[in-house]
Amino acid sequence: MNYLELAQCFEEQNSSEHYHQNSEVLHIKNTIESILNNNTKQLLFLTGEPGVGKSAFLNYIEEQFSYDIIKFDIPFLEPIDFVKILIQKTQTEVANYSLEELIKQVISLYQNSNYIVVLDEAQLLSKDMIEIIRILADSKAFWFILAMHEHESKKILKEPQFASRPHKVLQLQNISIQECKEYIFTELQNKNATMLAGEITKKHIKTIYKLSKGNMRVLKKLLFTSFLLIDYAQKNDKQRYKNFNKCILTMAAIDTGLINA
Amino acid sequence: MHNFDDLQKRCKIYTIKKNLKYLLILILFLVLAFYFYNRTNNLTDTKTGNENKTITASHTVKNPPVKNLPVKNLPVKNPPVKKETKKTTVTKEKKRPVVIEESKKIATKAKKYSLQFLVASPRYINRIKKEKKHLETLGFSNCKLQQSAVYIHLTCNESDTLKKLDPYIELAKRKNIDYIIRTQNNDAVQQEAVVEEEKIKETVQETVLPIIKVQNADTQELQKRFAQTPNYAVALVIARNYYKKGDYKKAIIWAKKANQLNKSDAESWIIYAKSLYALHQDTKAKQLLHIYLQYENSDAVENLLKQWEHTQ
Repeated sequence: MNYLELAQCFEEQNSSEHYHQNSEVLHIKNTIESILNNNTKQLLFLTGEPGVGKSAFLNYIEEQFSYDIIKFDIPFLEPIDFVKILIQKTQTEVANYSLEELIKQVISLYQNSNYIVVLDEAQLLSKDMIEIIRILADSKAFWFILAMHEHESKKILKEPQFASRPHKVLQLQNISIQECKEYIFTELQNKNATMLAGEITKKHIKTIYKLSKGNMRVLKKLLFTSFLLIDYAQKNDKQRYKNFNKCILTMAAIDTGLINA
Repeated sequence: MHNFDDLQKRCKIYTIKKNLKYLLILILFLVLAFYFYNRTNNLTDTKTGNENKTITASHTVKNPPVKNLPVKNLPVKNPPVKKETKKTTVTKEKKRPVVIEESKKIATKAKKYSLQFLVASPRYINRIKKEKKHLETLGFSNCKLQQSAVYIHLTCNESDTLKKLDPYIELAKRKNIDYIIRTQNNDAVQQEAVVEEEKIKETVQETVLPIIKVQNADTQELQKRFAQTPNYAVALVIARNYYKKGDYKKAIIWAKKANQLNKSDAESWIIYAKSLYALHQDTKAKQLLHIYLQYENSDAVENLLKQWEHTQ
């Protein structure tokens, strides 16, 4: 069994191919769809702990939804560049206008369309950018989905420009132990490593869950390191560490900083 | 993975630390459990100790301690035998309370020693026999029912030296059985109490039960006792006393009374016949003994008859 390949399958990836659908994800996806179908255009906030899978979820819905999505992964934008990008997406040439005139242009361009503007790491947006988003949201030309960290979102949502406007907050939570188990076994099955599934006992799953607390990024990191360690042990003939066991898990947890030893 | 060995070490240290935590919790738990167990035991011991104190006190009240008084000089005149019986019976029925006893061996002229567990009237013979069986099952050996003038004494482990009794004293203590060391010589029956150390007063005091000399018991007293509880042995002692005094008519009366209670024992017949003989009714006396011999064999009776024939 090639543990290096297995390790790679738990490597941090944002591609929708490897996205694991759990009940929580499906619930949020359905809620968003229902809001898009039944409500007027407004702001949607997707919040969750770092590593819970917000970015992956945004990538996932990009492919799943029938709506046109304009996604901004890097929020370090000047308001004028943000508006220009939106104009360029419609294959329209950007004139050398002032910001005010560009905003009017972009609103007129998208007025009758059904576009969703998705902004990841929205907690890093500048005040000017937040103002532009507010103006565009008020124009009802776009749907906005702003993904941000749970902690910062509380502060941003308290700002008067958002608090006084119609908006919806969707919270993505950590996965359960059952979902954790399903995720691991599905990934192993995808890699034709069902034999290894027998090596990972209930106790191991419990330990993995306890260490990762259901956070997808931590979980992946833990498994990735574990398989790398097994790969190293096999290549260097470390007898006790050639298979998946508690000791390997502890070593991976120490390496990833989950255990302070 | 260049830090594999380092991770390995850290993992081992972490596992040891983690297990140590559980081990400490376990040790703490065991220590607490042991502490509480000891505490509970101490409480029980204190309770038992209190009971002992009460019992010791009751003993000292009934039999005040006699300080530095040699056993052989103990003045005992017609001791309250009945009281003694009562006491023995009561202690026996009171679940045999624990008595803290430090056995001090008393030097006497006695030749045989035994452990006496019970003194009771012959009418309780069945219960005495039951008690004897019970003692034998507990491990006491050579248990005997010894009949004195009035009472039956249940004794076990008769031996020549006090030392031989030590293991049985230990056994009695272990089983919480009340006992006294009985010393016997040829002249009379003596009972010696075990000296008890009183812890409450923190002074060493010797408690010695009085010596009982049944044979010297007052005839009037014995008659009163017989009126309350008719008993062959008592009647016989009274008859014997009257015979010794020369009051042959009364000796005959009491020998008859004894004979009504036990016809098979030769003693009452002998006193009756001797009294008749003393009153010069030789033929009647001899006839009486011949009648007895038709039913029972007795060397004493035959010897007496031979003796009378020789004197004639």
